[in-house]
Amino acid sequence: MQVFKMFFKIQKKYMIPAIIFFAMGILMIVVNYEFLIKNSTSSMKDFQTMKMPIHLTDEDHSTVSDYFVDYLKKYHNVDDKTYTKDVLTDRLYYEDISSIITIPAGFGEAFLSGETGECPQIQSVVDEGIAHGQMLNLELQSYLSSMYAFYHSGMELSEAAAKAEETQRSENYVTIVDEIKEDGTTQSHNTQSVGGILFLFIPYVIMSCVFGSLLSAVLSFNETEKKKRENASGYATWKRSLTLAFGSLVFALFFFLMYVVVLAIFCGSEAFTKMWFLMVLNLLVYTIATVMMMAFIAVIPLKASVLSSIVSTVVSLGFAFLGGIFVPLSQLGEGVKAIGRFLPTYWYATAVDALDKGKGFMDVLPYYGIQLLFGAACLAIGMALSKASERAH
Amino acid sequence: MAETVVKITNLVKRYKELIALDNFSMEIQKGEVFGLLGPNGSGKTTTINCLLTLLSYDNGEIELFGEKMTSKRSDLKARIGVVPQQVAVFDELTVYDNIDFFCGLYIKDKETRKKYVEDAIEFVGLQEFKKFYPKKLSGGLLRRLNIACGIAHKPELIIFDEPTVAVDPQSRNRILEGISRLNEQGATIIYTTHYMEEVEQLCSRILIMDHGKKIAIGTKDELKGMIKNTESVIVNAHGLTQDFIEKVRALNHVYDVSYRDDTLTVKCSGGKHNIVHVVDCFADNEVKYQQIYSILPTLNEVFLEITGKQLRDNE
Repeated sequence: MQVFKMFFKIQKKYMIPAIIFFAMGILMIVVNYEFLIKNSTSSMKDFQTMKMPIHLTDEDHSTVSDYFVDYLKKYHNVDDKTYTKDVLTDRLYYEDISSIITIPAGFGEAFLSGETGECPQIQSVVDEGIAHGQMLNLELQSYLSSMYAFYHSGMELSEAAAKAEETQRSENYVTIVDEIKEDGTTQSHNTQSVGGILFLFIPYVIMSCVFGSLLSAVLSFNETEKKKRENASGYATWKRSLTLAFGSLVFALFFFLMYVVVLAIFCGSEAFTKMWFLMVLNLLVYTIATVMMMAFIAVIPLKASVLSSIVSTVVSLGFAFLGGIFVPLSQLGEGVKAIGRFLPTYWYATAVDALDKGKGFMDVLPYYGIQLLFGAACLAIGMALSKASERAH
Repeated sequence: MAETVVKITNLVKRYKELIALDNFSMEIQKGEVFGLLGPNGSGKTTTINCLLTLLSYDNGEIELFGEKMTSKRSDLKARIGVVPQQVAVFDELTVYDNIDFFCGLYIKDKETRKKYVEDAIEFVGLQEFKKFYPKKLSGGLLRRLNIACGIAHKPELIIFDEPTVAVDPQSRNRILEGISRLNEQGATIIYTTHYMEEVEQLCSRILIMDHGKKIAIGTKDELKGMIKNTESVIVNAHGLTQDFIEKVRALNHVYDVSYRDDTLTVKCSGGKHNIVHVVDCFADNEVKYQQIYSILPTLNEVFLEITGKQLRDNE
C-alpha cells in the first residue's frame, strides 16, 4: 500500500503533460464533432459561387449587350476602364483579372436575328493554365446560349435575360454519395458513424498520456540505486512490480474512463449500443496493451524526463500515423500498411473500421487478441531485459 | 561472548575472468563499528552487495544474526539498514515523504512509522527541511537525507557504503558523529570507505582488503603493530654531514634514515618515544636543528607496507 500511495504521489508531479494531452483529446473530439460529424449529417451547400475579376470592353452597345453587361456587373467584379494591350496582358498574367472579355460590334444584331441558328460568340482571353478563366468562359457561354434559346423560343428579351440569369444562379447542392473502391464495391461517405470517427484517434491521446506522464513516474521508481535500496529491504520484488503495474493500470484506466464518458456524451443516440460497447472494449484492450508496452520502454536506461518526452512524441505520433489513426486505413499505401500490421494501433483502427461496417464481436475478437499479444510480447521483453540488467549490475 | 552479527565464510564472486571476491571471510560482532577499508575495486561494495543478496555469489556462505542469509529472508533484511554510496532518493517527494516511503518498506504500522520518521529527521537534523524537495537541498543535507532513509526503521545492523564522498567537512563531521551515536544506541555498523582518517576515528575494528582478499584485520593499534614502522621522527636541519647521518642510523630501533631538502626522516621500530634518542644525538654532536617532531604511522602506511601501494592511488 505504501508503494502504491507513493507511486501516485510521484505520479502527481508528472500530471501536467497528462492533463495537456487529455485536453488535446477533448479538443480533437469537439473539433471532429463540429466540423466532420455535424456538417456531414445536415444538408450542406458544398460549393458556392464566387465573383471573378473581369476586364470588359463593350464595342456593341446594343440592348442585348446591355443585359449581358448588367449580368456581368451583378455577379462579377467588372473593370471597364481602357488599358493598353500590354497592361491588360500583364494584369492577366499577374491574375489581377481572370478574363479579358470583348463584346464585338454587331453582336446584338446577330443575336436578335438568329440567322446562323447559333448564339454569336463574344471574344474572351484567359490564361489557359488557370481554371478560373475557363470556368468563367463556360458560365458566360451558358448564360448567353440560354438567353438566346429563351428569346428565340418566343420570350421577350428582358424575360429571356431574367430566365437565363435564374438558370445560371440557381444554388447547387453537392453531395458525394459513394466512393467506388478498387474492387468495384462502393462505400457511402455519409454512413460513417459518430463513434467510428471519434473513437479512432483516442489511442493517440491515451498513448501520449501514458508515455508522457506515467512513464516518468515508473522510470523514477526504476532508477538503479533506488531499486537496489528497495531490493535490500524486506519488500518483495514481485510485490513491488505488481504494485507498479496495478498503479499504472489505474492511472491509464482513469483516462480511459474519462474518455468513455466524453464519448458517450458526444455519440448521442449511438452511445450504449452494441457497436458502441464493442468500440469501448476495443479502447480498453488498447489501453491495457499500451501499459504493457510501457513496461518495455521503462527498461531503457535514460533519464526519465528525456525518455518520456522522446517516447511520447516519436512513438505516439509514429504509431498513430503508421497505424491508421490520423490517416484512414483505406488511404494508406501498401508499404505503410505492411509496417502498420506490426503495431497495435493498426489493429485498433481495423477493429473500429470493422465495427463501423456493422461487424460483430466474433469478427473483431482477433483484432483485440493481436493488440493484447503485442502488449504481452513487449511486457515479456521488458521483464527479460530488466532481469538481464539487474544481473549485469 | 559477543553475538556474531555477520559471518562470511570463503565467499567467492567471479565476473567472468575477474575474481572480485577470493575466498573472503570475516566476522562482525554485535555492537562493533567495523571498517571495511580498501582502494576502489578492492571488493568492498561487492561484499556488501552479496551480504544484502543484491548479488549472487559463486561459492561460500553468509550468515546474518546466526542464520543463513538468502534473497528470500525478508525477516533478516528487515533488520538491516543500508546507506548507499550514491544518494538514492525520489526527487518528486519531500524530505518527509522520502523517509516515510523507505521506512514504509519495513514498518507497516502507521503510528509507529510516523514516530520513526520523526526520530530519523531529528537524528540527522533535517527538522527545518521536512517539506523541502531534494533538489532544494545542499550536497551535505542530501547525504543526511540519504542516511535518514536508511536508518529510519531502526535497524540492528547498518551498512554505510562510503557515505561521506563529496561532502563538506562540516557535514562529514556531523555524519561521523551520527554514526557514533547510532552505535552507542546499540546498532552494529559496517563502514566502507577509502578515507583512512574516518576509519581511524570511527571504527573499533578494521578489515583491509585488496583484490577481493582480506589483507589484514584488527583494531587500528593491532594493524599498526603489524608493520615495522612504529614512529617517524622528522628533523628540519641545514647542512647535515654524512658522518652525522650515519650516527643517527646507528641509534637503537632506527631502521631507515633519509636526508632530502634539509629534512631528515628517521624511521623507527619498537615503540613510540624514539624522538628522545634523536634529540640526544643532535645535542651530543652539537648539531643544530630548526624543528623536530614525531609522526605515528597511519593506516595508509599500514596499507602501503602490506600491499606496496597507496590506499587512494586511484584518486
